[in-house]
Amino acid sequence: MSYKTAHAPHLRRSDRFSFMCADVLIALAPLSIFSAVYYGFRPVLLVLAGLVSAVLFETIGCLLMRRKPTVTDGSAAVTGAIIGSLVSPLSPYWLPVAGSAFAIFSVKMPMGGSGRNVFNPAAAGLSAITLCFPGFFFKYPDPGIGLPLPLSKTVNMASVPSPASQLASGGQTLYSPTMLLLGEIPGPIGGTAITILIASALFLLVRRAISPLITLPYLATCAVLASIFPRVTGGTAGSVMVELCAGYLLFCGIFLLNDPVTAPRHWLGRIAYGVLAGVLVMLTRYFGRFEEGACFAVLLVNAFATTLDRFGWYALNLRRIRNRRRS
Amino acid sequence: MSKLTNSGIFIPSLKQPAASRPVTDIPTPERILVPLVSGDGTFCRLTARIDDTINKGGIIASSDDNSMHVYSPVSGVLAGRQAVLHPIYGNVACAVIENIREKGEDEKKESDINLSGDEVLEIAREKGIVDELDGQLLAEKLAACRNSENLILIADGSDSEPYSSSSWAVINESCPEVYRGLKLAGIAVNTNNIYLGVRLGKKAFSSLQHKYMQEIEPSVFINAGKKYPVNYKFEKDLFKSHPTVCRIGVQACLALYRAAAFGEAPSSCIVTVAGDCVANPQNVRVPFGTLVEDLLRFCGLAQNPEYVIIGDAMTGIAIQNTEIPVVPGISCLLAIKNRVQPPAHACIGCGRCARACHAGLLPYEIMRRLDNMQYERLDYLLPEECDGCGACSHVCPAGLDVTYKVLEARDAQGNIFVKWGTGDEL
Repeated sequence: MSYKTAHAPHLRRSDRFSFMCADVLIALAPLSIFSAVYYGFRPVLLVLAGLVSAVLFETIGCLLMRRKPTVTDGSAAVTGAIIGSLVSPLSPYWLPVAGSAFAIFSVKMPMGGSGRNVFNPAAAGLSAITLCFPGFFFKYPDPGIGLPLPLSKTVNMASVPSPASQLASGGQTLYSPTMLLLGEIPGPIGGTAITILIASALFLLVRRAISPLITLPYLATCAVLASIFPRVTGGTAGSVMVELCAGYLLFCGIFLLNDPVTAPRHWLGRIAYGVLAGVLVMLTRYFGRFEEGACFAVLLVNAFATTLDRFGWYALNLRRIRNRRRS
Repeated sequence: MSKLTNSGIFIPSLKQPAASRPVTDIPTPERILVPLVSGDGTFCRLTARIDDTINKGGIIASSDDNSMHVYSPVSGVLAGRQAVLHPIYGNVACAVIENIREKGEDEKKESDINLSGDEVLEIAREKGIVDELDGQLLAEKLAACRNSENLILIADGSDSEPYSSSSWAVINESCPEVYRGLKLAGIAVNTNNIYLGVRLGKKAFSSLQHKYMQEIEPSVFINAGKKYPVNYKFEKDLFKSHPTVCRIGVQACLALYRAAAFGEAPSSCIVTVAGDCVANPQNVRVPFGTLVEDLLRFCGLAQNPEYVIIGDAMTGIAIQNTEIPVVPGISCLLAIKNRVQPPAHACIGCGRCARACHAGLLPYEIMRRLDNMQYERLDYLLPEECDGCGACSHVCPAGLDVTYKVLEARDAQGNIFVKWGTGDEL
């Protein structure tokens, strides 16, 4: 009788990449539900539009490349859901679809598909729609309107300045720390609910889907820069609070930077990556054309991920490598 | 599910019920196949004649320079030679021994074991004692770390892999003898820092120390903890300040003691037979050369296995054919139907392999460079320091054979990387 052969080990953890993606989707769900409390069902539809279109585009991409569809791993769904979560509740439905199309067809599939992309597809998709349609992207409704947004294709409604745009223009902030924490501020669908974002981050940390070695240095760097170079009046603590809660800085630290495919794997590389991402995010805020440019910063720091990873390890093992090469 | 920590993993123990059952002796097999390979891997010539009756411990083959021998593990008739494709030795000639008879063991007198280091090494070499932890010749292993400064010598009875409990069975049966063997090994490497590593709960550990208090100092026993692989605990935790930590198997220690005291060549080993297809998982004492098929038949199969593995679940080799002999170095045999294997996917870069690696390597990077044929840049990542523990593959959520790739890089180093670009050999 002939038995099957396989390489050791013959006992594996019953872990899957799809489980990690499912965790991220679970962590993203409360954000759109929270937004639905303020704006009605429209934000949920926008997130679903991004998610469904990304899955569809990846299936088409795999079929065009004559590959087995990789949608079951959930990475396309995460990309689409992130894009959908970072558009404004006033956006037309085609906006997250356009972002997903760019993310999948221009960034993910040409590099070889799931697991092989150098740049974060969601950040690339967001960058594309930020650059092409800033009018739609940074137009936020007032959370205090008390009425659900219409579900029609386009919504003609006056927009209010978000904390990020106030930071860009300087002066006194209009939003108190309580409002910032409770998410009663204008902003992208998933970027305003700070308390829920923190809860999602804790859930993902417990599930080991994200690394604190990226998120914490990133937030610390942003906080240090915000305290050294405040853009609003009201003291250091106020400046740090508004900078961290405005736009989608926190969302970026939890969901975009922790994409395992594009982030470094080694602990020292991860810390350096978090710090560099923090510096770049704050630089794009201080000197960028748009009120929020975290997606551009993520793309920039993605380019350094492999180098940081490698040099982090080399720095720690220099003596070992030298000894080995000598012997 | 196993738990991932920095530099190692916690694997759920699957040792029961085999670990709690007594060791059984396999009934005398009809025939056995003894590979004509000495302990150091040298192929030997058959010296006994076909149809000759040979006694247990008698020499049946010798190396060309007559320095290494193959001993008969049983008494019987040498029926002929047979070629076997063995997963460890490759294509190897085996001596077929039939009409095996059980011979009552003569009462052997223990000889004086006040030996010098050189004498111990000579005995270990002559009797071809193999360390079951890595299949290396014990004498070579001891000679390599002999006179190392501040050396720690550990008889590792921790059975750190999930199924195996054969080392514990040996300690349970003959702990004082193992300790005497360890002392001899300590003399051979010129160190007094000898320890006996076990993997027990606090209560069981202290009762073990108490049980052998008369013969063995309690401080000799060390608890290896539950982390896999066990090297990390010994090298980076318990004996951090010691530059060299040498681990040898308890079966090898026992064989060394028997060889020194009674002049016996090792003839059998204890093998844990387990897995979801085995009807009676247990530790079995088997003469070398017994066929895997006979061993599985003895323990019974509850269902037809899809995989038969020699070695344990983390480092074992899956074999296609069970008509191969048990050789020194095998301490576990698994018959498995349900093997968890996540669907293969491109590396997602989660970094779990780097976290799990107790040697502090970057398995994903080694794999990437190997796949991209960047051989000249592979050297810096030290793939030769991998010991193949399998922790990286075990935790990979993308279902990749990371360990296999790193070992490929390690083993190919001499053949490809050094010669890469010279153009002479390629």
